[in-house]
Amino acid sequence: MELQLLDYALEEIQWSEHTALNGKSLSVCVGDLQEQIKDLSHGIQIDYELARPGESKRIVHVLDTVLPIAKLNRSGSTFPGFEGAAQLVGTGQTTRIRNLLVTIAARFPHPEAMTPIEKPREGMIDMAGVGAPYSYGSDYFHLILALTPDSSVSNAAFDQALRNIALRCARFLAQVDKNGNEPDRKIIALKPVDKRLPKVVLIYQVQSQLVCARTFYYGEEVSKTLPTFVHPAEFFDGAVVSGNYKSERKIPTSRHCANPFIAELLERHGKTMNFLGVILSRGYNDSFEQKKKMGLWVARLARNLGADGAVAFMEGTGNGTVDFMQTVKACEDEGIRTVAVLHESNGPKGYERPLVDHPKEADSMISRGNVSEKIYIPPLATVIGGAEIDLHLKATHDPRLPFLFDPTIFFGSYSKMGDCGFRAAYES
Amino acid sequence: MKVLHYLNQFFAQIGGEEKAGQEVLFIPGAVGAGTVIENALKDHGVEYATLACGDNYFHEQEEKALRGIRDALEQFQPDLFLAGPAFNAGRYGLACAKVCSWVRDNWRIPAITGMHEDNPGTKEIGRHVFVIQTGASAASMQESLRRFSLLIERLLSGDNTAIENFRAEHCLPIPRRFTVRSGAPDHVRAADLLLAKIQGRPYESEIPQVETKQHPIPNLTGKLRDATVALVTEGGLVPKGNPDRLESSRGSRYFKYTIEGRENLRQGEFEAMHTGYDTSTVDKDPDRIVPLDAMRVLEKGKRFKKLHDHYFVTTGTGAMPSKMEEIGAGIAEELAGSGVGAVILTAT
Repeated sequence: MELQLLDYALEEIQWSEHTALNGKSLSVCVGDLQEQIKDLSHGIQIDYELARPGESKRIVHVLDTVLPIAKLNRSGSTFPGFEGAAQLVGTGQTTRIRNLLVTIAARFPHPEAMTPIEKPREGMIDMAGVGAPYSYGSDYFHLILALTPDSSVSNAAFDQALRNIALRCARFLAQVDKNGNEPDRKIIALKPVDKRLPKVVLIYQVQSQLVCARTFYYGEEVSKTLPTFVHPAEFFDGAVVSGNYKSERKIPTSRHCANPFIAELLERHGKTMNFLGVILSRGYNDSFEQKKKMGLWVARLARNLGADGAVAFMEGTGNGTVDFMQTVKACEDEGIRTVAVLHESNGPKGYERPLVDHPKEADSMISRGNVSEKIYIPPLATVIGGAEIDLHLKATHDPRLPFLFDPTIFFGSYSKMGDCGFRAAYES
Repeated sequence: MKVLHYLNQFFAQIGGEEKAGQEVLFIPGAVGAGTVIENALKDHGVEYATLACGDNYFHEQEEKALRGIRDALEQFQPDLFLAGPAFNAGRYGLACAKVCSWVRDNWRIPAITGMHEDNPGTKEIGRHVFVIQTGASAASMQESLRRFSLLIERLLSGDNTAIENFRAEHCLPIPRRFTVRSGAPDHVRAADLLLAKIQGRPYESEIPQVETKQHPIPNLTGKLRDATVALVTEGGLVPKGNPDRLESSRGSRYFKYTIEGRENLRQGEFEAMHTGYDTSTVDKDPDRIVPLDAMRVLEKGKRFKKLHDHYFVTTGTGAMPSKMEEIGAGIAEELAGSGVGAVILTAT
């Protein structure tokens, strides 16, 4: 199984009369976007905005970011399961704009009708300043769609609409006319390598619980599936899509399509290790027994794939940590050496227990830093997406003013802190 | 350079316990211990001011006290903030720690306090606050103030090595974890660590195993049939409309609600405030998180003497363990005081 990736990168983005990628400059025509999504946007007003890395801009109410990817020659479709009948992905050719995100900023039409767990959490992206290394996407260009649904739109319809709007725009942008540029061509494959190299799987635990806190695989909720083997190439084609609005913890759809852990293990494949592929599993099972079984099944799958070792990370926090730790324990019990990556909650003063669950088998952890530490967040010149942010259901704040908060206010911060090499350590 | 120094009512020479209700008072110039520091810094052209606040006032009116301190900061615009030293005085130490942390976080100027290692204030020290080690009592005042002055001189000199040396020698080593930069992304470190582990090379976990406090379940004193039993949950179940505004995450409080005369908890009269689990099943049948229906059956069957007239509730998600311990202790104290001998604790 082999996917050829045709990779484009931007150096500039601007509004224009025509949508095209000329050299490294993307011109976008709002009318073209409106035409693409006109059947999806009934009752939804859309404001279109741009943001570039390093600009003094703050994007608020971010619900998801999607990477522009499309199949070349119309052979099947990226994001399978979301437009037409699902076909297998991960083969053929895929075009991608690797540093552009379609970013959805919105509030739901009827928040009062949502249970606490369904309510999206505030997530903002600071393109510059103190918040940038905590904001997933601060190093990307953004085409922002700020959606305002009217009251005729139900929460359920809006949840579907925002996802489909983002995915369709992303497919459209990857397919635009391209002039005067040659893509980087990459092959995503797991070719046979020296059999003596250690065999490694990636354990990829997502949050899938209920509406607004779920993840899709080929359009199906992962909460309805068992742990499964996924080829890295399938991720590059958008087989995994986020429907999770637990903002700071979420793995955005764009990160499922371009996951640094997958990239790292592919890079080492054939050199220092034999990367066997990915095990997609689910956190936030309802009972301890279920959490334990999920761990056992992941370990059994890894064993049957022949793994000597595993790198594991998870989406979420608290509750999901228990599923995650049961998985680590089960793998170690099966003799699969496992390294687990997690954020810590050491408290604003740093002396709280780092993890809610930490069995002795999890003896080789990688830290992403203390997510409950207070940081002083100065204002940026422009705020996009809303005039008021929600400090996690406790208070509201004017995002044009400075404030003191922890990294949980930033979109995708748990992942981003890992990308930036943050970790927690005892203060010397 | 401007220095603002926080003292309690006693060290600000306002009075003893009878003045512990003193609200925040801005005093131009140095007072008490401050005069020693001011004198030591006299070659540096220091402008000194003092903030006096009663220990009780600070703890009973913390928000007001911090507002008063903010006003003083805005008015005086200090370059450096000092508090204490508090030695082993608990209330004073807590106030010094909280004030210094607040000033350092919000005002971003250096903040220095001093206390003994057993002072409960050591649990409230924010990042980057200097905590100078002192003796347990004011007998160590002179030496403590000498250290304050020494640190201030080093801060003025901007000599980072000298500051770090001072920290190593004179500041309390409080084991606290904060975010630092490791130099490589998590995925790179994870792959490296895994290879070391597989190949039998030495490796070290970045997150230490922390011993958790054990809380053995106590034995029932007497017989169950003579006991009053209470229902307690962290599942966030509150009367519909959430009258007391229990937080749905990062809970900081607990509440009790009457179940006297009720046979069960009906749909529509209660709802769950909790962001950690799917609350829809509990909203449909609140008895599934606070099992009143089953308890009434057992009560009628005389399996125990009486069901306590209130159930206790908090939200066990997103909160810090230390806060949860505080909430648990509060609930336990109330229950023990009402003659409750056993508890059914439902968790989510």
